Amino acid sequence: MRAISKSFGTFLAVDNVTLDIRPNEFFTLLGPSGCGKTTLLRMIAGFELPTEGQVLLDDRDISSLLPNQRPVNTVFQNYALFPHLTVAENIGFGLKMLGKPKADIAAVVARMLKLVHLDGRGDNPVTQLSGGQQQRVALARALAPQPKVLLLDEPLSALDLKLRKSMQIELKRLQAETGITFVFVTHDQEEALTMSDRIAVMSQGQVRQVGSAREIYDRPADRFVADFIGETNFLEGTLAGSEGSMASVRLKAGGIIRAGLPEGGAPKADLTVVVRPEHAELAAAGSGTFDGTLGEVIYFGTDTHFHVRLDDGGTFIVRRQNTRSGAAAPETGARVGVRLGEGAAQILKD
Amino acid sequence: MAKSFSIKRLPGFSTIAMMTFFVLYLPIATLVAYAFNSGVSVAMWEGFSLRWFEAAWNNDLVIEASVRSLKIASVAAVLATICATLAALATTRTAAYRGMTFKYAFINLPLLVPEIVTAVALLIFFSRVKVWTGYSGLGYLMMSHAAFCVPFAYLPIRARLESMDLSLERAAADLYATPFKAFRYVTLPLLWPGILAGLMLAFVISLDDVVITEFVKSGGQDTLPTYMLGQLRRVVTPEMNAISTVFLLISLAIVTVFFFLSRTPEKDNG
Repeated sequence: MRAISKSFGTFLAVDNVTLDIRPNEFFTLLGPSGCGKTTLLRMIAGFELPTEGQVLLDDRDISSLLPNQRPVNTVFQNYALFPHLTVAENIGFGLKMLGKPKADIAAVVARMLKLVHLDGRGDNPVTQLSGGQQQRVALARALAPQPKVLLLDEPLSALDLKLRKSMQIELKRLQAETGITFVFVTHDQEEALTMSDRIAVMSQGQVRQVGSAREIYDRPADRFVADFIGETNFLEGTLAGSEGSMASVRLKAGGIIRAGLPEGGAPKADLTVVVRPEHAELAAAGSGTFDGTLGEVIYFGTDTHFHVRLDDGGTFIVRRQNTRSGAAAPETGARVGVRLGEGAAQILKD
Repeated sequence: MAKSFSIKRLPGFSTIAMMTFFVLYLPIATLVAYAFNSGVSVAMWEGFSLRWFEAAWNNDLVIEASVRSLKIASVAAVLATICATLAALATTRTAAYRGMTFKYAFINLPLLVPEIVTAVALLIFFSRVKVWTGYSGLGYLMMSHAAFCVPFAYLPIRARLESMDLSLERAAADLYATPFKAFRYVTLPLLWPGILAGLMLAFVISLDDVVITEFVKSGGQDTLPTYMLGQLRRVVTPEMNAISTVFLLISLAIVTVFFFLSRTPEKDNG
């Protein structure tokens, strides 16, 4: 996808996006609603035409082709199954439109039914299936014609939590088994992190960062990405010196830490550093990187969050895994230190 | 438990309801009853007989008018339904465009224009056309009926289309269906009940039209309703009752089918 833009009237839904999606990867477009991710998906499918730029597939410009001329299939958010057809007829629809012989279609449909665990349900009307089953029919229908790219438009959002979790694993398995490139759209960061090979985080029509789940989580490029994905502590500081990809930062809250530099080096002398709550630990006052006063202690079952009030007025959250032995937690109001592990801190671009 | 408001609890509700049904249906019941009268009066009961049904059946004028009515209604309903289907597709299957509401209003306007105005307009228009072409067959009546039946056919078709998700056609296109195939394999099968309902509604409306037919028809082109109107001006025999009864049964049958067809969308919202 090259320098693609789409505007509706004066509203710029997708702003000069260039993305390179690799063959056979599980690629996710992640962002809050209204960020342009679905519009981007529709331009790949051909339901919207880009105002500017091109959509390339295997180096061929497909921007001006109709949806039915593109070797790309979509799993729709509301499934859009054909209510007047049976499960098997739904799955075979694409192949029938391509003019494949009946015997071939029947063979592929049988294989697809097995793939999505709906063996023996081929003759059922789709209206009699549960939501999870309809979801699987929609998947099978889109996979049956063996598209080059499968587009998934928030397909799990209508399912309940349990079903959603199992479908996440199911999707990952299907992608591995079929070797088809998946482009997945979601606003659910957890979904994106668990399933994707690579993620593009979008906001206001622009791609903010592209990378693996780990890169995006551990080394967020900017404040939006850091804030949107997971929980994050933001610390203000000034640059004290740098060597290679690391820099020393003097924190306003006190102490000096070593933090990773973003691509292109430190942007300016006044910096923001991000630290994930699970990459920090409580220590005795004076023995950590900086000190603070313990505020709320919130128990979450698997872990506990400690809110530490910093001396510069900010709040820093430390997450500790709960263990059976359970180290004694300090009391609210006590002076505590916060120790940051090596590589815990990352400097933001903005 | 809090009692929710129910109109059934208002005093006199059932009395008024019964009276309304009485006033609406008593004349029709009387009409049907006297169709079986053995005497010549439509007001004095003399005994049961089917002689008036027989008389109507053997009356060539009645049969001729009936056949003419059916011919006109069939052609008009088909023409009107085709126009209405295209109109409904154009007003629901595209992104909203300027003037769409205007078009919607324009399609439905004939429902509001007084029928007599349409009738006079058609009479004047077709008398000109007759002079130019020299043709004076049933075509004029068929065209006129088709014209005023369009909005009636349009309503159920549009309702059906609005209950159909646009993403279905999008899914068909995504699955390699050309626009024509998407229409043929997805839109049309789903729309079919709506089209049939529109067809039947148009058929019934055409079948019992008097005003426009009376104005547009040439000599010897009586349809069943205009024939009956003509007869009523002379002698009234239970033959009229018998014809009306058969007419009523046909209409009831069509309306029943229409009812069942227009009920299906609930089930299809998969």
